[in-house]
Amino acid sequence: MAIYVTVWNEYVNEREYVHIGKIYPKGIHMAIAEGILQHEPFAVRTALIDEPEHGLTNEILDRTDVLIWWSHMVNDKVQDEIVERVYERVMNGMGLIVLHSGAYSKIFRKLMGTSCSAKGREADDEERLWVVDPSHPIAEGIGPYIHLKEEEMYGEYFDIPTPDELIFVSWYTGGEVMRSGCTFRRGLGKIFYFAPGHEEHPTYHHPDILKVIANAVKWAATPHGNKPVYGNVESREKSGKGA
Amino acid sequence: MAIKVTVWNEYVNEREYPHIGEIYPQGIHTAIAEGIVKHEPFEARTALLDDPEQGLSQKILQDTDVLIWWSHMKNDQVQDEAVNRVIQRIREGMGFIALHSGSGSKIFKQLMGTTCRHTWREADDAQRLWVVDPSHPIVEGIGSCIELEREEMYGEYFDIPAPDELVFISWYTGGEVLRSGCTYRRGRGKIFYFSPGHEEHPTYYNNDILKVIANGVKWAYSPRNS
Repeated sequence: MAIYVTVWNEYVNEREYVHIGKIYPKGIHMAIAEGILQHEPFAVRTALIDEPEHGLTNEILDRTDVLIWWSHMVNDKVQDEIVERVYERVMNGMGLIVLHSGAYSKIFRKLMGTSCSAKGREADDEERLWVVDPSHPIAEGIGPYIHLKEEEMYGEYFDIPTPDELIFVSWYTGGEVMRSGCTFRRGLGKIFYFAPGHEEHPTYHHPDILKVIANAVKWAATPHGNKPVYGNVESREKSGKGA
Repeated sequence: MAIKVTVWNEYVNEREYPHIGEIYPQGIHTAIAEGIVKHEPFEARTALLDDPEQGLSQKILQDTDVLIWWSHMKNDQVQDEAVNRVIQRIREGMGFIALHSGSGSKIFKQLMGTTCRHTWREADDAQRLWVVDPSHPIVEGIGSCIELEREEMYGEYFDIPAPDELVFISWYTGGEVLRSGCTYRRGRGKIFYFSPGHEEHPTYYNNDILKVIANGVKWAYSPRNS
C-alpha cells in the first residue's frame, strides 16, 4: 500500500520574488512532491498556508502518513490550533519531516522543547553533507557525502535536543559545521530534520536531496507500537499490592 | 583529594624525528601532563611503552583514576595482557581519554567494538572544533569553537558506535568533518575520545585543547568507593 505524503509549504517567496519563482515556478512544495515521486511510488498531495485550516484539516491529516514541512517567513502566522492538531498527529504516529527554516516553525520548536536557533549566512557557501551513519535507511543510495554548490549556511550551535540519531554532518566553505540530518522520536511519531533548502537555490531539484527526503518518508512511515497507557493502574497480579 | 592521572605515550616519533623532537622535546606525554596541571591540581604522572610492563602494571593502574592515552606507530605492540588490564580497570571505573591516533589502539577498538577507521590527510589543514553541546562539563571555559591553524585531517566516515554524547564536531579546510569529541560509558568507566593531536603540530600546547583534556579528566573521574 502506498504511503500517503502531504507536502506543506507557506508558498510566499516563490510568488513574491521573480528570481525565486524562476527556480521553483510551481513552488517548493511541487518540486519536492514531484521529486520524491521519482524515487518512490508515494501517494503525494500538497497543502498550503493559504488554504482553509492551512490545508491541514482533519480529513487531510487522516490521509497523511508523513507530513513534509517547509516554512520560513510566516512561521509565526501558523495558528496555534493547527499546530496543536499536527502535534497530536505526530504523538499518535504520523511521520514529520522538517526542512531548512522549518526549524523555526512553531510545530518543530514545540516538539523539540528548545529554541531551535542556529547561526545563518546567505553567502553562497558550498555545503557538503557527510554521512555519519551509513547503516541508516535514510542514507540508502547516498555516497560518502552530498555536495551542494551553493547553499545558505546553517551552523552550530544549533539549539536542539541531542538527536536520537545523527545521520548527516555538514561542512560549509566559511568554516562552520552543522548537525544537518537528525532523527527524533516523540510519542509514536518519527521526526527527521534536514537542513538544506534555502529558497534561492535549486536544492530541491538535486537528486540526492530528493532521495534523502524520499528515504526519510519511508523511514518515518515505518510501523509503531500501541498507544501507551498513563496514570494510575490496577495491579496486574492478584497477589500484588493493591490487588 | 587530587585526581590521579596517568598520561601514557608510546614516545616514538618525538625521539626519532628531530622536527618532532623540537616541538615536544620531553615528549607529548610531558606536554600534556604539564599542560593539564596548569588548569587543575591533578596528581599527574607519565607512563611509556618502554617502561616495565609497558607502563601499565597493575600497581600503576590501581593508582590511576584517569588514564590519558596517546599512541600511533606502536598500536599493535601493546601486549594483550596490558590491554586486558586497562580494560578491566575501565570497567571498574577508571576514566579513559583516548587522543588522536589512540583511536587505532587495541584498547579503544576493543571498547568500541568497531574498527574505528576514518579518512586522514597530513596537509596542514586548518581545523575548527565546534562545540555542539554547550551544556557539557567538558566544554567549560571554551568559546563557540577552538581554532587550530594546522592539524592533520581526520574525517568521516569514522567507524565508531554512535557516541553517547557528541561534544565537538570538527571542520577542516579541505572539506571534511569529524565527530571529534565523543563520550562513551563502558561498565562503570567513562571514556572520552578527542581527535586533535598530530605529533608534527604543537596542538598539546594550545590552551583550549589542554583545558578540554583537563575538563575531560574531571568528567571521566569516578570516586573510588562508589
